[in-house]
Amino acid sequence: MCVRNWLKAAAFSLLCFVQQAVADLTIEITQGNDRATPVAVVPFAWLGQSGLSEDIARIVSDDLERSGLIRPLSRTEMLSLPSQKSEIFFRDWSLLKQDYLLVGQIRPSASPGVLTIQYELYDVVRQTRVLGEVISGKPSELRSRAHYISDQVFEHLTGIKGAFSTRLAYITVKKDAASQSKYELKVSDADGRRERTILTTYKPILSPAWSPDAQHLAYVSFETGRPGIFLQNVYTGKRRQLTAFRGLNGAPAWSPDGKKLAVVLSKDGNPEIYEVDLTSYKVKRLTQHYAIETEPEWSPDGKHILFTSSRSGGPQIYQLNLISGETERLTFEGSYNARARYSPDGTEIYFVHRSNGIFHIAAQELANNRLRILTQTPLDESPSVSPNGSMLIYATQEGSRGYLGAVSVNGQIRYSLPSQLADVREPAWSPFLTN
Amino acid sequence: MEFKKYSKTLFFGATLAILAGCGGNAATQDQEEGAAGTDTEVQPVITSDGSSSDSAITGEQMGQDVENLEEKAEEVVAAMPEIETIYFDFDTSSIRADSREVLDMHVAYLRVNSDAKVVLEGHADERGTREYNMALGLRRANAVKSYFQVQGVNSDQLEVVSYGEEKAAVMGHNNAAWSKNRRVEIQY
Amino acid sequence: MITPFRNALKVLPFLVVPFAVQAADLTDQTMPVLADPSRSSQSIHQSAANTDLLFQIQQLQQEMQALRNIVEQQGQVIVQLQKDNRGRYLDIDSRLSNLSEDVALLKKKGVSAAPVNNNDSPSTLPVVSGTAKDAYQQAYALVKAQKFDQAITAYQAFIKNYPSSSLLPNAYYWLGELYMVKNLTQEAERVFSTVIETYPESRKVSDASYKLGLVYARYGQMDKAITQMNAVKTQFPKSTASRLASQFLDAQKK
Repeated sequence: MCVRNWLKAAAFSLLCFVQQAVADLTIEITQGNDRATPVAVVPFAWLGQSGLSEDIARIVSDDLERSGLIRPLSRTEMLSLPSQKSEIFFRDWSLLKQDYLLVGQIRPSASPGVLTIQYELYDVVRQTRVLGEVISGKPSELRSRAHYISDQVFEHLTGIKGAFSTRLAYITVKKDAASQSKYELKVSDADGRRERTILTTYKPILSPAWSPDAQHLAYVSFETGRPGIFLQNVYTGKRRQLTAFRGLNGAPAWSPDGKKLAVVLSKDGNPEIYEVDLTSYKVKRLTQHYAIETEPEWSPDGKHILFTSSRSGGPQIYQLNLISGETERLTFEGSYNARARYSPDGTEIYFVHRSNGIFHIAAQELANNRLRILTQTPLDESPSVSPNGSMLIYATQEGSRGYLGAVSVNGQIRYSLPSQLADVREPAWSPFLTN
Repeated sequence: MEFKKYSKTLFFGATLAILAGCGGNAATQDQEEGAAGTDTEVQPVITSDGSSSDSAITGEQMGQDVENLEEKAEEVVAAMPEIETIYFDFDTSSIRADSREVLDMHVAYLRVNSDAKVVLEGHADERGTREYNMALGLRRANAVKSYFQVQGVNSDQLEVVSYGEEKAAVMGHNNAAWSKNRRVEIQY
Repeated sequence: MITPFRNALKVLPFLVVPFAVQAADLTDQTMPVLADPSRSSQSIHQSAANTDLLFQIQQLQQEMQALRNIVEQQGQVIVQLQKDNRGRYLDIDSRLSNLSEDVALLKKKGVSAAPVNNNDSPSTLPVVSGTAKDAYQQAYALVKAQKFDQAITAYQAFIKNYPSSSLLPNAYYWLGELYMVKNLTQEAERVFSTVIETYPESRKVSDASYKLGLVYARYGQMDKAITQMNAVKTQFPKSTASRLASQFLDAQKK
């Protein structure tokens, strides 16, 4: 009896593992950059007993490759696998036309259950060490440490702050056995791995938005049968319902200081944008028009709010100056421009743009209103910018299945994060993690 | 549900169609809420003559039909209107002229049955952004609410809700599916 | 059993209302055909009229939105045109300045002399030194970038540092333009007058004269402005300034 139960439990946990692995989003790189820097990421040497749960070098290599700016060397082409300077033959690597070489070692530390990780980046041409560090972490933290190393290497090589240690939030939908639609709000690493479900419901979930400290998500859930805006701590799971006004409660957007939310309410009849103070809970109306006003987004300096309005017939992007109260229309090309997001430096906006009946993600520089279309698939929506401003993640469709796509803001680099099991939508890229 | 008598409704609908000189909505309601497990039945089809509401109606015709209608009035008002969905054009919340007769049936019913309450559920097709579509669905529901209110339906009887593009009536990524998804459902 | 029947009678008028609306739409009559006097109640007319109003509002809102779209689009086009226009003007002006510089140089050297080349001794180029030209270009770049305050400082410095430059009248002229932008009208009047009085041979004189007319107009001295504009037309026929002066005068007549 006991044994059988134990077996069952074992089988069950095994199953969980497998499911977990499949449920994660997988990455397919669809378009890279020809001028990417060649870097050899050599498998890190493991100087301990028993196996390691993660292959740090693989994670780093995948991170760097996904950026499109770095081209890691395939392991099968490596002539040797050095893990420290004394083992490196620079001539081999220059023969393989590599500019840089990343090597490392992992070993158990003096304190039990903690590993020491050493990594070193070498300039192959100059044969010098350009970066190196010794860090530590538990076996369960190896993925995080790997992303940390990716961040350091990426920033050193490109001058752009790495965003590999960030998170994604998104919504998945799938039919359960009774063919009911099951909605799940999920959080994963930026590479789609370590997916965790933080909310499950049989009613729609929409518009997840990260707080500036990357600790909380605001989102819309219909779980009560009516839409409401909820706030949830991603780490503790603790949550509360913020709004339950009559009609719409939608499109939450955090102010840069995290003290306010811009939301859409229709409590006064028509969809309008309101500001909710998260300390005093005062609600202040920001727009007033008989047309639709929705999808607010706070500017990085907190002085403006972007929103979608149909006051000129179809949806267009407008910018409200919170100081002067003036509203300015920003988009003029095409009859459908909606759900805009600012670049982290506030100089550009990204939004859904329809041209020739097809919905793409487009970018527009605010200084000259120049529009450029970034994506090529037909039903693209929900662009969300990486905190370093280099990539956009968005929702798209193939057949009837929704999946996530990513594209660099210059349109040159693309990859997709399809899921094997569910419809994926409404991605939100987290800010840089502070802890 | 028993008092939904097919024959009467059919007759009523046909009368209205003649009266208005326009095509009634083809009222084939597919298993819309299949996912939610409701027991929607297949409704009789009122065939449309395809024309829009621009053919002329003479006064005499109308007078006669009014008398016909009067005779049937008792049956008519007892029946809850069969057609519970009206449709909209892309990115608009304007009530189409061909929806008015359906709405008028509901007005009639709601005015008589002042204790009846309806939820006006607005929807959009999948194209465009989700929150914009949420707002669009609400405006569609609001448009129906205004229509009912100006005709004297008590606002206490009306509640609006929007599901945006989240609850498609028809699956598919084509015009046929989209046109069936841009709708307001009038739910008693 | 009686109640439903009564209700039926009550509701009937509301059933027929929409057809009345359609008939009215088509024939432009109010609904006499339907309005059986015995049954017509105030509320039939009322709700039919309300429905009409509702549809009219719906239509008006759509029209307003369409018009707003046109206005916003046109506003955008105007802003763009203004930008383009300013850019084009600045471009042409800088080309002309360069040309006039070259012409001045040629005059000084005598037309028959060899064109400017590096073998010329520095003493033959006393007026426009490389640094003076650079300083002028830098100041001018600030105008293009619409950094007006910085441009004013730059031109003031230029006038102080290169008192013998052939570009001096141009510098004064641009300073005047900048003062106009900053609404420092009296300052503008002073420098435009300087151009006219001190550098009568400069090609900026015609423009400065026209601008002086605008200065007077800003003061509200319309008679003086008109006299000035007429003077521009007679003194500098066929010039851009003359054309602009004519436009000014035409506008006053209307």
